[in-house]
Amino acid sequence: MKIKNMLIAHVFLFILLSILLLIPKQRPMVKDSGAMLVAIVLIETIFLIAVASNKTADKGAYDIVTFIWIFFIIWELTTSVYNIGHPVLAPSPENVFKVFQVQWQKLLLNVVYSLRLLFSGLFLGLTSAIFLGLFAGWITRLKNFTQPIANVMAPIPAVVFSPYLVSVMPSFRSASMLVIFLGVFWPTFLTTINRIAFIEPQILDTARSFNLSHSIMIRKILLPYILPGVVSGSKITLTTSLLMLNFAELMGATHGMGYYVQNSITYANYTHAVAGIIVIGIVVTVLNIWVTKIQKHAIGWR
Amino acid sequence: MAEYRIENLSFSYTKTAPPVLKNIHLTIDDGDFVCVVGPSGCGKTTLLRLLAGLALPTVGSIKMNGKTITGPGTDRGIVFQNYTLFPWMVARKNVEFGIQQTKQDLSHGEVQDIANQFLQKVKMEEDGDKYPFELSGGMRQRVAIARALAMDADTLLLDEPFGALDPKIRANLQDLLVELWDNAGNMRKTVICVTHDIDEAVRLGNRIFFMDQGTISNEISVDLPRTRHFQDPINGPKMCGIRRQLYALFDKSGAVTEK
Repeated sequence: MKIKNMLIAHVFLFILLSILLLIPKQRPMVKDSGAMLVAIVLIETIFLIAVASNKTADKGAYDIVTFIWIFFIIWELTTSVYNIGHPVLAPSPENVFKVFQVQWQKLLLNVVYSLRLLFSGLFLGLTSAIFLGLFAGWITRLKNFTQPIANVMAPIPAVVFSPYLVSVMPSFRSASMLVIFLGVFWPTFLTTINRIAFIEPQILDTARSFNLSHSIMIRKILLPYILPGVVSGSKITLTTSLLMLNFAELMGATHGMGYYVQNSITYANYTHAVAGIIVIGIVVTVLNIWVTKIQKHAIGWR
Repeated sequence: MAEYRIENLSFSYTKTAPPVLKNIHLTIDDGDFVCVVGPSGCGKTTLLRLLAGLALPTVGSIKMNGKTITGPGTDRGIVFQNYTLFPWMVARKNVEFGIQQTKQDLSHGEVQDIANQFLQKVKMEEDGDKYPFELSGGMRQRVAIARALAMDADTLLLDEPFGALDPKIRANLQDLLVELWDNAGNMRKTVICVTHDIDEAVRLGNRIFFMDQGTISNEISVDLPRTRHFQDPINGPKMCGIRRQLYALFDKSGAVTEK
């Protein structure tokens, strides 16, 4: 089964490479295929490593890679080779991958800029939500006061605020950080309160029987108890906050991934826009893998 | 050293709710091994929670060594049927945490030594680095007992500690508990064990209180040597006699029968 899947994937890779290298291009202005070949080699390498390390769920990796090759074949045929699509609206893959080679510094700078904003907002949101949530969850009066507010605030997508915040805040940086903060804070705060409300009564009784101070109770009992819930929620939180950031960057930013895409589209440079979108996809994937790792570590006791 | 004097104790959860405990008078001596048995809902767990200080009497008082109990304290170690261990700490850390709460002046090394010593006593030293979810029910209760003992509390409060275990493991742990209690000689801890398992009460306690509808209706003294086994040719028949007595009390009790 494995050999058959491997074979299928590589037949398509072979077809793709033959088209790329042997068939003459009808579309003018197609750049050399060097960058695209590097991308193909990279994908193939990651695929082979994934298969060798046997971590990927059996067939998934084969199917995904086969799909990517088929997609590339169709893309290459409809654009560069037969020039079916509009040359501006449907950029050739060679040109898109060339962008990575030529503009990698600019792209990297924008990624770093976005991630810096993302992590500052995420960090502020998570820490303050956990900190305040622990107190609000533990002290009944505080809980009765904050929970209804959180119930109203948490479901409102923070993106809704972003046009307003972008115009109201002194800088774009602070505005987008606030958007991420709001998007992270309320759901995390609510998760924290709810988890404390449903803590096993016997765990609580045991903890109370030690006559713990409030500080130890919160740090050593409640915090570790709520963390798995918060971390498993953070996968969605992370993706949505990146989404919110990119959305916010569409308005008024001067740097960042969302800005890069938006700016390219403004100048009808769809080649760059597509390259930017691919970069966003890669960043989201890497972040997801990273959070999954943290998650496994944090919920090791469950 | 721990003796308890319960005077005129009544308890209800709210002002309007009917009382869960009514008019209990009780004296528990230092080093007693007391078992409280009774049908489900008779108030035995509530009594234990009051002794632990997790709830306070509505009327009357509980005095421990002459002092009224006003809240939980590390002089009383508790073992519940489930979730006594903190699931996010490995077994050893659970024991160490207990010790740290009682003896805050000890160095980390000393705490580790004591934890190891008590894990050894319950034969859990090899599994000390496992999380509770990786341990079987019996192993978890061993660790919980080790923690309560390592805290060097004067009293052990046990709430159905072996209720979720199969009969063989339950018997093993009962023997272990009695052995650890008995070996302390004059330094014996006071043990108060709530159970609905009649055999458990007969095997463990030197006093058995029978509870029914919030009051203690009977007390039976069990003056038999340990460790007690029902198969024992001398003890066995006497134990069976006590067992019959307790069954009769269960039959007479106002417990709601299962339908």
